[in-house]
Amino acid sequence: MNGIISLASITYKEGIRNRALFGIFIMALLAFALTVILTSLFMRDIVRVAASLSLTTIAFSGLLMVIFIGTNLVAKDIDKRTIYMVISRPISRAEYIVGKFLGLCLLIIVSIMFLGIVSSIPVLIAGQTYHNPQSIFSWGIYFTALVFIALKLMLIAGVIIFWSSITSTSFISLILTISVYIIGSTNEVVKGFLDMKMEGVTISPLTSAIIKFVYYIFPNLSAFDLKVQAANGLSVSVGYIAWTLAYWLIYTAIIVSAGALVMERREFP
Amino acid sequence: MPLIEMDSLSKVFTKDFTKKKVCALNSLTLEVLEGEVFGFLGPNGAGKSTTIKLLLHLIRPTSGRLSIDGKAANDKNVRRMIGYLPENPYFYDHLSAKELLWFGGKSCDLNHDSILQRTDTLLQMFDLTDAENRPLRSYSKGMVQRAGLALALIHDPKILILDEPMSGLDPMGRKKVFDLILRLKEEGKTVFFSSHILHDIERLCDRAAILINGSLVRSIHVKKDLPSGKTLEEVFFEEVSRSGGLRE
Amino acid sequence: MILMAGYALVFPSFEKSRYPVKEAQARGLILPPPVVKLLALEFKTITADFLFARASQYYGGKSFRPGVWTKSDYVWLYNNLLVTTELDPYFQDPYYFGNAIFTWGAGAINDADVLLEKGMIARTWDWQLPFFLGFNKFYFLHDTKGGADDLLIAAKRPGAWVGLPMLAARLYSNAGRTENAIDFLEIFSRNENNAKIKVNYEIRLDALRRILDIEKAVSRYKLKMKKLPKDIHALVKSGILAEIPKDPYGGQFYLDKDGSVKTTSKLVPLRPITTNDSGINAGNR
Repeated sequence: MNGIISLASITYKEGIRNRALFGIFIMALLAFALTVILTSLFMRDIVRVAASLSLTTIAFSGLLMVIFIGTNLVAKDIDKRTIYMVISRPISRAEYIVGKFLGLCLLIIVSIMFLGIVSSIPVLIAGQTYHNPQSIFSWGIYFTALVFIALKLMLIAGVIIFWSSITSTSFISLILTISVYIIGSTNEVVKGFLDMKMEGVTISPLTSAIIKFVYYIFPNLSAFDLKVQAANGLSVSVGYIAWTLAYWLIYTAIIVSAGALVMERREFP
Repeated sequence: MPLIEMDSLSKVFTKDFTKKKVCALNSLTLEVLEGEVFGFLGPNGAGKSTTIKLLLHLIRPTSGRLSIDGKAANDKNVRRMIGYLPENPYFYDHLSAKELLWFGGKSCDLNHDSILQRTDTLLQMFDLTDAENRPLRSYSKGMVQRAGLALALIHDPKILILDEPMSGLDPMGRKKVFDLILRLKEEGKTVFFSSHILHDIERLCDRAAILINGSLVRSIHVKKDLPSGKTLEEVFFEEVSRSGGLRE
Repeated sequence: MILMAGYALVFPSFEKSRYPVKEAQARGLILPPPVVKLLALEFKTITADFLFARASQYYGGKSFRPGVWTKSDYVWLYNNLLVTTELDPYFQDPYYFGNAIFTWGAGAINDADVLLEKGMIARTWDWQLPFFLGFNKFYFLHDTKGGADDLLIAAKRPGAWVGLPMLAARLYSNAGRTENAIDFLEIFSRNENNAKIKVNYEIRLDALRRILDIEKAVSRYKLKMKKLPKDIHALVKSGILAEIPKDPYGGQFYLDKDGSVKTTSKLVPLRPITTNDSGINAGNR
């Protein structure tokens, strides 16, 4: 346990002090400021627009953070030979993976919390600027959406760790993670097309099988996207939250374990 | 009972694409006794680092047996007894020496107070107290090496495994490492280090082994075995020419 | 120094020559909704924001330069709004904007209604969408019963104007069209926060109230003279009207063959459409 805790702690510290993270935060803060200005382009639903822009800024910044700083913290550990300082401690390979993952998770949670709180400012301002009786915005859903953004990012962190344990270059790990992100963001929609059985569109059995495979194996990231709900104030059922959480837990556990298993076999000459 | 036992230890590397096999270590049989300072010497590429990495379970042997204090190398608890300094230590850029040592101590289950106390002592010993809160990437090469040594010692290990500990140090630094090894010996620690500076091995070690092209060619008691008048250097070059020159 | 002067000289013409290119770019390619949804990944809401901003900018921009609105302009706007509402069906602005531009300016009532119906399904808490739909059916499509049905749907939604059921009842009973329209517009105006849009409603209300006055005058004339007045001047000559009211839109009121009151302006401003006249605000231009 101490191995995992100590590694998670230094992983977090290393991440939070990364200059790139600072840059990402500055960019996000500028985006929030821009949001306040951009809402003046719209007519009535400006709280919705502010919430949409704020949440998108956070999702995008978080994605940049996880993909670039995540690869830096994990895949580059091997590139830059800093892994020796860790592996030579009484820390097993599995503990290494778990420790890294938890450190990344902590980084994500802290960042999203910070960005989330700042992001509420443009939304608050929009609410004060114009009273729209047809708006049913709710902070509860907004923060639920934030939590889900954090969950999605942690899942992606798990994916990064998985790829890093398999590949030897941090760049490959980066590309593979981005691919998983794109596939995971669209696999549900594509499967939806398949299920719809549109007229005049025939889908070969092979394509159908591939689509189904991709749907089940790759993570369903669109399930974590509650921007439409949060921006418009629609409620999300407890059942949905519970099942998505369960999916997240299991998928993340599987992928981190897979990474740990691969890491056990790996050598560091 | 010897603390480190290696029996016919071999390591063959396969280059992924060409499938070419490189035999880095060829049937090494060696023992290191508790409390001794053991020198591992040989030219570059002889297999010294490979052996050390096998001890740390960074790589697995292709064949042969390896045990440390009676335990297999893949048991993570073995590493609790080992303090390792790699040839060129790389640390996380943004951590400070203090945080590095905290990590080292905590990962070995040291309690909070022990960590604080030992950190202070070690940082003082290695002259790093002034820089203790500065990020490691701002350290000079000598400071990095010293920080690495502190990390290797924070958990008071029984065995010190040092891969080329003098490399890249200035004369002052080398003297400090030298004195450190002597002091560790006095404390009853076992020290296993590799070097290609024959003079250091001559002065520090109880026993030494010469590795050439992956094979052990000679094992000597430095104090006893060296025939009078011959230096270690002469013995070494003798072995090199006897083994028909060095592999590229 | 010479270079700076050159820059200052070239720039205005350069900027002017950009307009047709920018307009062409702004129209650009509209992809089918499912494709946009796919490409948008997790960024559907912000894509909807962006598309809508483009639409309102396109509309506002075109209004300020001499240019004629063609059917293809409206088609582009319509497709844009369809895609926008596909990406985020709960987004309020596209429905309201769409209704405004397709009714008063373009006369494409059915297109407006398609959008409103789409919005009604998603925005179940919004009473104004079925309300707009009801108005369109009543005023433009002369479907009084349909309009009344929609008013009742609106009345059931939270925050609905309390007078809706009454207004629906009046529509069912087919009471005076102009009076009902005035009632509708008074509700529009009361619920409108945007000062510029409110002014538009007030202008229209003004026109309708004057029309109502003329209609009442026609009824009084018929009662008295047992026949329809020959033309609007007859109303003044007979002393029923003091003078012919002026059309705030710049046209002339006249009487149709069946005695109904019309105006040459058709309640649409005679100048080219600008944001002020059409009853919507495509931004804060």
